[in-house]
Amino acid sequence: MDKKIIPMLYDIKKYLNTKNLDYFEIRFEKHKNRIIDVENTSTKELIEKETEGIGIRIIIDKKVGFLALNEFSKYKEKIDKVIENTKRINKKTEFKNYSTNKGKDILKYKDFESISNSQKIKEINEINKEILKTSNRDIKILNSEIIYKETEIEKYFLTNHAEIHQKRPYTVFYSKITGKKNYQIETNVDRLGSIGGLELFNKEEKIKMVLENRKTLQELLESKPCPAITTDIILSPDVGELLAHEAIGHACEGDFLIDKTTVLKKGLKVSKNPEVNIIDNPEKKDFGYFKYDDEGIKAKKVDLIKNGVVNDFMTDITTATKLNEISNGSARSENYNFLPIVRMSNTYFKEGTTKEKDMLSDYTGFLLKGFSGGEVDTNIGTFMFGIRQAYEYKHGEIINKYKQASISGDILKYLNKITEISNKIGNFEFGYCGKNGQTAFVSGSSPLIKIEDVIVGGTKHE
Amino acid sequence: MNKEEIFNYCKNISKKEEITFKYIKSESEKAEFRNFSIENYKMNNIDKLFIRVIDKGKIGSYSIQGITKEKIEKGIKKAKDIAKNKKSEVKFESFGKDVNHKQIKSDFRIENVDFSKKLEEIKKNLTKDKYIQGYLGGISKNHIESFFINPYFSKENKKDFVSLSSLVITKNKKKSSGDFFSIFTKEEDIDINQTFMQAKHNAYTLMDPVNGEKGEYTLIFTPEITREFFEFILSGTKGEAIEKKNSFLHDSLGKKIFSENINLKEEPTLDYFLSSSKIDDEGFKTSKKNIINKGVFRKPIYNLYESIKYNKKPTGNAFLENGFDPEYTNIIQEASNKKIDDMISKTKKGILIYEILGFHTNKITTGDFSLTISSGKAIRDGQFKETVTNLNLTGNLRELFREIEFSKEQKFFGSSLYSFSKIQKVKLI
Repeated sequence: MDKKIIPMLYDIKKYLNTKNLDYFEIRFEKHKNRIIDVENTSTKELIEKETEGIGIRIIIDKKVGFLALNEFSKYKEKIDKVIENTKRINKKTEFKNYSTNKGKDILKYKDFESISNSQKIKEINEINKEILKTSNRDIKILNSEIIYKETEIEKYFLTNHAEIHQKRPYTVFYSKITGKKNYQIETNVDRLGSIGGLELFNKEEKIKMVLENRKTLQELLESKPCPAITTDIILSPDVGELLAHEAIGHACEGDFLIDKTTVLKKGLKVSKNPEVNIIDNPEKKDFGYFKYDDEGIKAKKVDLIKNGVVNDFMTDITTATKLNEISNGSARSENYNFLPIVRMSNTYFKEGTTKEKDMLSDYTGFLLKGFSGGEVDTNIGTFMFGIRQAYEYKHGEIINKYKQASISGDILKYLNKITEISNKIGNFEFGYCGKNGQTAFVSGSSPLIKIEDVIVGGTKHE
Repeated sequence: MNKEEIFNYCKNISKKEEITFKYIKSESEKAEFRNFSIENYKMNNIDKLFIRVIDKGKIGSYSIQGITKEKIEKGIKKAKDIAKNKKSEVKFESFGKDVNHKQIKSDFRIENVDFSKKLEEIKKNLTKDKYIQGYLGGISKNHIESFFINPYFSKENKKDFVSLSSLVITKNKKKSSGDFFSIFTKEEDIDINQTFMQAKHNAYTLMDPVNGEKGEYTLIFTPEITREFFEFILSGTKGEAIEKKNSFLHDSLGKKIFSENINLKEEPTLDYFLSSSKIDDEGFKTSKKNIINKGVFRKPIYNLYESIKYNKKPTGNAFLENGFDPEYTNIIQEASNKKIDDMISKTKKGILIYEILGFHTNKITTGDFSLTISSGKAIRDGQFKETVTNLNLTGNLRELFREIEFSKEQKFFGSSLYSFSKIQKVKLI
């Protein structure tokens, strides 16, 4: 971080202390990004960018105001204007038990600058060649694109009572392959990503992933469009994670509870199955990890659903104050330009007790794998997920492979239909979650989850 | 450095080198409303500079914030280093050299609109009644200044607009909601009351949803939903997706694939439209285009990279906001002369659809979609009946839009105009 920044933050703090505010916080954030986009054997794009600035939240007469800026010469004038205009809003916000933490969380990682751009491009080219050479008479590879992203986020949080410095790296590696078989064309995207730097994924792991993507593409090219059908389903970990995140996680965000726009409430039994346990855990070192949230509160694991019953909601200071609780550290903002809001981190279903082989040995129904996005209306409890692949099982044997399906329904009814949960959780998948125009880095996983008698929406009518 | 200092500094550099600068300064005032009061006043003042250089036939890019002379110099050096490291099959000679002095009107009076007065108007609209549980939404007043400089041309631009979104949460037998969103680009058009009235109307209309029954329906989409479907189509008209056969339209150029009622145009220099631009951010002139004319797909779009790679001409559609990927400026879907009230009254068994979940799961390669109708109003014999939810709409876009009709009434979305649309005989599950 630039040496001039911390003295400037202290100058701003000094100025804010002259304004007779109920509370203020200053957040400096710097994001460094590098994106390398290689298409077949040509570098399509290599972009580096730096964004940095300061977000200041003030509370005056219990009213909340916010200023974001990255040109600091006139900060006093701008702070004065925000204070003046904040007085004109009419909502009074209680804000209790704010952060008094002082700490650092600077993650150690292999520096992104320790390998040159040309070396990174060379490796990506070599990986792409592994895919291009699989093109044959049966499956023609029309295009193979690899997008590699590095992100480094540094945050400095300062109030009269708290001072926190955090730095985190993220690495993401996407493979997008388009292939053709006869007259059919399909594209599939697979990815690797986690919190960390260049130590995270070696070349072999990346090659393994892109070859797996090539295999999935072939399956898609050889699969039939999914019919619409009412059936039992088993969710693979990447779809189960979506159910945890979209259907339950969002509905367990404390701001929705305050706004009365969630169908969930504490103590509500959402599943007759006591093995239904859903957790949000920012302490887990994965893509959704953070030690302190963007209000300076120490993050902690929240048991959202415990034994089939709504146990807790994620909160920030404002929602916790309204609920007469203490924030559980779930306030996150995309960057300095936004006020923190209640967000998820690493969200997952806990393991159950059924062995995977027992679940599948005589199974008749559909197994759903790979997601292509999801959406939920927490107010009425309706959700919809896109599914990449659906395998039809009969007495434990796969009898048909389909592509592009969907599941949708009512959150409350859906969880009640969960009959079995396997005893092994899958790999955590990273993702970018959108809410109120802000993006948060998240991850999730689940064991295999069996759900009875639901509608699978397809792209082919029966 | 202020904007003028940055402009002059960059202008001098671009006289000597094949380099482009795009500067954006955005200032906004925002406030949110929640339940029955206004909270969280926000002011954002952000500027950024994007630098692109051509060095030995390759492009390097670097973006900075908190702009100083030192950072600009460092950014240029970084961009050149990046260019050197690329191993690209595409060789660039220069950015576009087009010049266009056409003036596009914006309403600068919006910059001086008294934001606190608008908050007062909102307060008056946060009314209570036995059905309304609360409100959620926000208002923002935005002022954006930008400039673009390359060795051949420079342009400056200012845009001002106010946006307002209101979600009204209701409860009768069940919880439900209705919303409305408006963008205003002229001071005299700013109408807080009308947006709230429409949001409340939608909320009352959509109360007490019940699960819809499977069957065949005539579907009428609101302009918001029409827009979502057309954005799906437009994403399939990008030149690169066509060339790579990643688009469901890759074999459809010049063919009639949709209803002849579909006429979709790009109009890049409309006054008071937010995406208006006379030159794109690679230096190429924007132009009017018939994208879909009487159901025939007419024109894909290309940026500089793609134009060289695929031996086409750049179409003036590359903008920084979209990472220089080709993007349309303003989109106009041609209206008909049919009134929406008549379209509804002639519907025997249908649904007026207000909200659909899952648009982002649409598959651009095949045109397949699998969507969930989360909020719609059943129509029987031309009359509105119950509110329905939880119905699935699946299929392929080419088939769905084979027969479609549009209303006379259109909604302005800031940089596009869309109608209500009506499709007969659609199976829902």
